Amino acid sequence: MSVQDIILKLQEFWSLNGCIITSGYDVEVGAGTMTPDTFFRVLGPRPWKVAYWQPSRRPDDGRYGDNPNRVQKHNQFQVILKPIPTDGQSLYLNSLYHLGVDIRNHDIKFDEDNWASPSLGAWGVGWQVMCDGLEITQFTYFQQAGGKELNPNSLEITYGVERLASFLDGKSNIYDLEWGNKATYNDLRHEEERQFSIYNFEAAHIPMLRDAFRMYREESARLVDDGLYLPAYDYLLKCSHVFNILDARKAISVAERTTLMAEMRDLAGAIADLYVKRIHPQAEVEEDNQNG
Amino acid sequence: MADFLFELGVEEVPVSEAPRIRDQLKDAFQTALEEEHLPMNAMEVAATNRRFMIYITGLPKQAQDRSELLTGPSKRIAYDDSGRPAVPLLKFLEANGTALDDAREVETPKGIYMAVERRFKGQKTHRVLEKAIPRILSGLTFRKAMVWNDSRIPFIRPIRNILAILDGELIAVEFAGIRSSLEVDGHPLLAEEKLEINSYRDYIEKLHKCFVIPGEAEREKIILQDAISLANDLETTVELDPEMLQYYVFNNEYPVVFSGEFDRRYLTLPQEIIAEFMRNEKKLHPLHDGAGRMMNHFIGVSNVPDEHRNVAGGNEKVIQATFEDAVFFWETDRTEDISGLTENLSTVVFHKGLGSFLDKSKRLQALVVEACRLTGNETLTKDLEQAAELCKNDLVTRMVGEFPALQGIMGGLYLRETGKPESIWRPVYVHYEPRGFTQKPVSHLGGGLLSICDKIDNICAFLSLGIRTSSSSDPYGIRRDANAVIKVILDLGLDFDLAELIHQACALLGKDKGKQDALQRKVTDLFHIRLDNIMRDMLGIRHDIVEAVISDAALHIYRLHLKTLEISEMTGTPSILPLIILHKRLKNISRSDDSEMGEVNPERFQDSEETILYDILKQSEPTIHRHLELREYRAVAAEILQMKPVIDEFFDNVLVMAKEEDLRRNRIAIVRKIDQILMQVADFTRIVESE
Repeated sequence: MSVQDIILKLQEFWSLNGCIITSGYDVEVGAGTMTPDTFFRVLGPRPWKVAYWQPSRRPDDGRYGDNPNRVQKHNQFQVILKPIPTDGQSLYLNSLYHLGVDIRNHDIKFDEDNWASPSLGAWGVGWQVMCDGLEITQFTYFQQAGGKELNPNSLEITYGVERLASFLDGKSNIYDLEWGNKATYNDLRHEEERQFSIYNFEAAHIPMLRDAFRMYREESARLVDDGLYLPAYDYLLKCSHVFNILDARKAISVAERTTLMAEMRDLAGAIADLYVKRIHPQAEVEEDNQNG
Repeated sequence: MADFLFELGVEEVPVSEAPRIRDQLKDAFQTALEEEHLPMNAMEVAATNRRFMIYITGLPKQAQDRSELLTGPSKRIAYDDSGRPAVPLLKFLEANGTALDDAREVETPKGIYMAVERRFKGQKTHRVLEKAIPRILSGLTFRKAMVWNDSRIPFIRPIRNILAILDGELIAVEFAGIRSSLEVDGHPLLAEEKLEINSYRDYIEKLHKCFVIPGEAEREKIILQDAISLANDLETTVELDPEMLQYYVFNNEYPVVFSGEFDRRYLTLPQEIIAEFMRNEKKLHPLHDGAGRMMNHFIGVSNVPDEHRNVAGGNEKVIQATFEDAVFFWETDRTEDISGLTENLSTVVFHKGLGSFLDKSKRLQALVVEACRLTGNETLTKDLEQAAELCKNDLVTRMVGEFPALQGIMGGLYLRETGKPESIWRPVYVHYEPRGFTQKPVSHLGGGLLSICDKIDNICAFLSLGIRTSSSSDPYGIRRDANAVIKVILDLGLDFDLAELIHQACALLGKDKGKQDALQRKVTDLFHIRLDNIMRDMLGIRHDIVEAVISDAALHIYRLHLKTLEISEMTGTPSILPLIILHKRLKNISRSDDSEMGEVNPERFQDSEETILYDILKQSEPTIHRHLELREYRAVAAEILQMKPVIDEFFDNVLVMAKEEDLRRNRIAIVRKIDQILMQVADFTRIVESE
């Protein structure tokens, strides 16, 4: 099954199961969790069911197009179910079945893997789903986001699209995968991997990126002060991506990492606060009463 | 008689938690039944990562009625002068809802007391369990819990079902929004429907039919047998690592062992890396040939039958991809000389407020010099200094960045690659070992010394920040590190005073003198407690013997251990009791005067017993010294014991507590001298030996 067929099938399956299908975000993100459709919507009391395909960038994972499995940009298919359904695991197994996985003849395991994103002030409990030893999905019960306890909690299912494709296609090299209609992954992505690996590891101009990080952070903080949490969040995402490039360039010391992470976490917290107050003005009053 | 079947069905719990939860459930059910005086015949427990089963047989349907005698006030105060019940008795009766007629007298060791008999109605077993189950479930503890539904009750993973049947009858309970039912799940992939259960037999049969082998031992047996037979096919044998075996047993309800292979060219990677990647990353078990060489084959355990080799084939692909990553790291890391990375450590923070790893490696360099000197290993100094300088460099390599469990090992391997001698790379390789007391023995001297220094520095550094540890919380591994230091010292027989090394480690942290002293005390206290703990709990040495030797303020750990061993041998022999009596006598006398210790002055002797004792003491001094030097503690004690008749004569005929001060002091000085010799072995007065 081609990469695009997987995406189409997953969209179809989750649409049939009550999700709205949205597009991935158009700002670089490290994971589908960072997309506003997840970051904001898991907060507060409102139910939410969404599924989207999100290209995700991890500069440090680039291998110049030489490694058969690692790429600096991969594709995630993300599902958020809020509140958590009682049959989340079976729904998930059904989605694999829908993709044509013969689940009785493969070793599908839910292995402990608790997810945490310190820069988003978020963590959850769950598993990596292994299929014959290959990690194909992250399955997480969100507990906290933006530094806040969640109620109701959300279930996040994140499929690794390339992993699924390798598995379904029996290919051991990612570049041999069929993207769709005869075009290969290599045709579409190889040069991009090569160039971005060079950029991320060698060519990225460190002083410029440091300036950019600072400017994005300041812009985000300013927008927080103005109550514009959506654009503020965009700039936080930009900070995060620039941070990742600097990190791939080995330009961040551990001490500095702690500081920069704390800055991003604080911004994420402030942005989440604004959102919660906006959608649920009562919350602020209740909180004040409790504190008082 | 009734039997009780319970199953808690959950979504996959972490394998490491499964046995803990099983044991907690077992204890909790046992306690709940005991509290209500419900006896049982037998109890069986079993767990997988998806279910916890308890099966109890021979329960009565109801607990027997019983009565208990409650003792109240003594008869003396129960009545007033005119024989009427007084306040204490009236209050007692009131509190127990009984009348005066019910009260009776009972004889106790303390005299005659008033008592009443209180009757308890035996509870119905069904009712007891009904009340107990939600309480038991909410009392379970986990390393990490989560909430998932409106109940907001934290649990390890979402609960799928609660089965509770007493003699075929459902016990209706609710916990975390889940109501008990007769339904359980079969295998997560192979069973289609929920199973309805009406008895234990039914449960076991249906589970087996639905691809769940509930018994842990049964699953273990299958895994071991299949692993051996697959290894046989490859003309080798296999001994499964206990941790991996445990993982396989709890992680698979229907275990099927498979084998796979990978391209031979990856065998050029160091074996440590291959093993780490297989075990920790992919839960696959490496295989070795008859000569102990790693093979390009592995085994793993699947939760479904693998008739089409899907599972084996998939794992083969995955492990090759992982090795491809390993090769990438191994190649890129080696393009730079690891010895040149020391300066990069300045960017790696050791801990907030404790500087960088560069600072740490500088402290370690100074500390190993001291360790070599203290342990009489000066010849190792030069190499160990270099090893200390380089031992943290692998923290900035990509391999360790990606796989922190390989720290130390990678540093050693990379140094070996650049041609450093074994006296340098080996200490680096092993310096994180051991990671606690119960690990395989330490055998490399240089590695052991570096390990001690690294851990002492950790301990001093973390304690200097005011970090505390407790039996349940040791996030910085302080206790574990201290245990490891003790282990290295004992394994390698390092005879030195650890307090001196601690003194140096504290000084290197660059605090002012007052803080340094306080820190040093904290660290030595910690070691005394750890030592006491290890000797009693792990080495099984008697509590009183540990106390008798550990009272020494110095931390001559190796010697302390030798002493405990020798004294353990002495206990139970006829010599121990006279020694204890003698030492008590010596101590009593020497304590009765609190003046400073003075030298014995033979010219002040008046009685012949004084002179004889002093002469004998003088004569045996060289022997005693030699024994002490050779750490022959039993011989020292024997030497003193030989003098016992003379000492007894002295005590019987000489008035130690003479009126004249200088006479008294002189006699006490002799007594103290003997006490001091004994104290170099142990404080025998603390040893408890029945006559």
